[in-house]
Amino acid sequence: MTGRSVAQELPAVHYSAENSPQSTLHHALRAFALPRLLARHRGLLRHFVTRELRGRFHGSVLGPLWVLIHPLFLFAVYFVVFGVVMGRWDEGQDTLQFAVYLFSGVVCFHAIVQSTHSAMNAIAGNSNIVKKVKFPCEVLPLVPVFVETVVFLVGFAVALAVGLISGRAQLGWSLLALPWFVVVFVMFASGIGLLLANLDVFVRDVRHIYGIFTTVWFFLSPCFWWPNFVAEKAPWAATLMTMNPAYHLLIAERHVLGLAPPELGFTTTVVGDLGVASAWALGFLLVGYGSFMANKHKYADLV
Amino acid sequence: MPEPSNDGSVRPPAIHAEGLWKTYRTYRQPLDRLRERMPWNRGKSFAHQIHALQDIGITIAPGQCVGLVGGNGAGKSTLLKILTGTTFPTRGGYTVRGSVAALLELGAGFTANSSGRANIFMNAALMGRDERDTKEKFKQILDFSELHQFIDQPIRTYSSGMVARLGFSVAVASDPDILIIDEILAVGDMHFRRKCVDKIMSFREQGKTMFFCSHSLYDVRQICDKVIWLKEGRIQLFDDAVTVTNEYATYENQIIAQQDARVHEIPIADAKVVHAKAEEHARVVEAHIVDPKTGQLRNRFSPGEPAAVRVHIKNGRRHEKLALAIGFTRADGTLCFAPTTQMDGVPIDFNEGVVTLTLPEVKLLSGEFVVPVWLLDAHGVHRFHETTAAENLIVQNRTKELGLFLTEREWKVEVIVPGPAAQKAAPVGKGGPGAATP
Repeated sequence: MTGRSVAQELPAVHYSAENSPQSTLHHALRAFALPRLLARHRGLLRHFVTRELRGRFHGSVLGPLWVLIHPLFLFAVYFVVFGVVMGRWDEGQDTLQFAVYLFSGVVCFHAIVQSTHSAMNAIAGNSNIVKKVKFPCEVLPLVPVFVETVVFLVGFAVALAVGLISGRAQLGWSLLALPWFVVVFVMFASGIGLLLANLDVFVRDVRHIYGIFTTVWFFLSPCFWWPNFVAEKAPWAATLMTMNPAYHLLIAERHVLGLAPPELGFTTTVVGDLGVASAWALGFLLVGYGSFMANKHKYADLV
Repeated sequence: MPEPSNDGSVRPPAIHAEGLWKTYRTYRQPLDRLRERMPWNRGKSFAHQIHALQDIGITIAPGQCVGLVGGNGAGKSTLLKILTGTTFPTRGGYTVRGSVAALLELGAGFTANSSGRANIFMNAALMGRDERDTKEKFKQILDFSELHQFIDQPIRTYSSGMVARLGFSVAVASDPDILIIDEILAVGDMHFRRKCVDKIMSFREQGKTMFFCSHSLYDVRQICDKVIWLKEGRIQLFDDAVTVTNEYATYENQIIAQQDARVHEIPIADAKVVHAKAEEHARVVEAHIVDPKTGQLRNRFSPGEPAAVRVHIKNGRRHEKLALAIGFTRADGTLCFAPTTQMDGVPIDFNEGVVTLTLPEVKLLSGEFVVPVWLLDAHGVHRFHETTAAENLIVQNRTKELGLFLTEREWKVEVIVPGPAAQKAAPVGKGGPGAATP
């Protein structure tokens, strides 16, 4: 036998059921190591994302165009319902401005809902690899987040182009905050996605509850309504609506896009809105990542 | 916990597990899982517990090849999964030293709609391998799988054997220190199966540690140094391959024989069999397997040892000339051989007596054999009585001999030299054409 002479230096994996930390807090504190984790598994993540993107258009005639067609269709429906049928949405703003505002909101919110929904199913839906292959399964819920980030960026580009050409959006310094916004978006969706993926493994009712919740959430979020308009009609709702985790994220997106921001709440700058959105995103990420990692060792037995 | 390995140096074990328990909790309804977590239900359990593994302790030295045998649900796959790291023990701990490549299921992680090429990269990435490394080894993987013409086709067009080939090729290409395989040699055609076995053998020669489970005792005995027999989640036996496979085969055959016996309890009307009425006809009083040297009862033998079957016979009221046949039937129903006194020209003509069949050498190999005894008329046609010996013959070989029986043999190796001189050149061992002939 020609065994290695340096056997002692072989990497060893130790595991002890009694000594492995299983508290959410323990893992939540390690969420700050997530960038390093992503860097280490970037190859795997890239494979998953390309597979997902390819698989989504596999065998379809229009292919990648479907990425835009879905939000465009949603946009068309909301535009007709809220803009045309239900009338003017606010004094002093024209239809085209409403269109850009609505479209940018739909693209962002749609990406959040889609990514968290797919992330929720990422563990239970991939049981064959979770059970049979040893790999960092925390990348699974992140895959739809990155896929939807790509979709979102395409939609954002369209909104930006239409806004700039029509002059409804002003090209400003705030556009430089786009990378920050994307990071916040990814953290926000990943946090919720990881949390839901974890819960769904244990109680499958979560997916049904979340399906209903997102419908309500859409109406509670500033996608088609203008915050100032609501604040005028119902001042009591003004504080409530800013407590929605998605509120500052969606408003910050319009900031970055160069749309005139609402004069509401305690922040009216892009940095302020992004700051609040970042705090929410970080909170979700800590809870989501912490609970996911604390329960990860149980997944193979439950899915 | 170091122990001396084959090359004399002291190396820490490749795999070491201590007090490993795996308990699965199943709930009658999903609501019970929630109820159990409620603070007012603290301490109560709504779960049904299944102990898949109980107090498993193993130490496997580097370079050892260890097999895992056991019935369905004995915990084989669970143990492999734990050592691979896809699932975790409920209690206890383990240490695995070195890089691990595991094949718990062939084609796990493959995407049906992606091409074979894309799946190779995807699978390699899933196993934590570097992209550049995979690119370097791509040709090697492709060559091993022999799927050149299909590699750009989507996997869904592959046959299951082709998927298996691709999966095995990717897994072994990583050059792991430890290879863990769960029952996968059963797939693929003969040609590929041989390639797999060759690869595994070369891994063995390179001093890599292997841990695999199989229902094929043949594979286990051929490939492994040591074997673990798991029974109901516990280690029944952990010893050298020959001992364990023998014990396990015996146990398995016993189970089969018991099931057979239950089936045979159903009476079958057979016109030829005259059921022995007491004193009316000739009958076998008792039949035993004995040691011919001591004459004592004994039913466990090794191949090559002498053994005997002793049959006590009483003739009926109508004194008849008799013949006796003794068979050796493997538990699966194969009649291995069955000598009769009539064919060997041995007359039996008494009122009461004992007939002993002595086998100077047991030629059967490992297994348990039922010994049926037939009492016939002198022509060997009419059956007066049929029964079986009280014990089964159990044979256990200590060598790696394979098959059903042992026989004398002789080998001869001849070289065929190409060209016109070929005929003159054979046989080897005698002088060539240049040898002096007086």
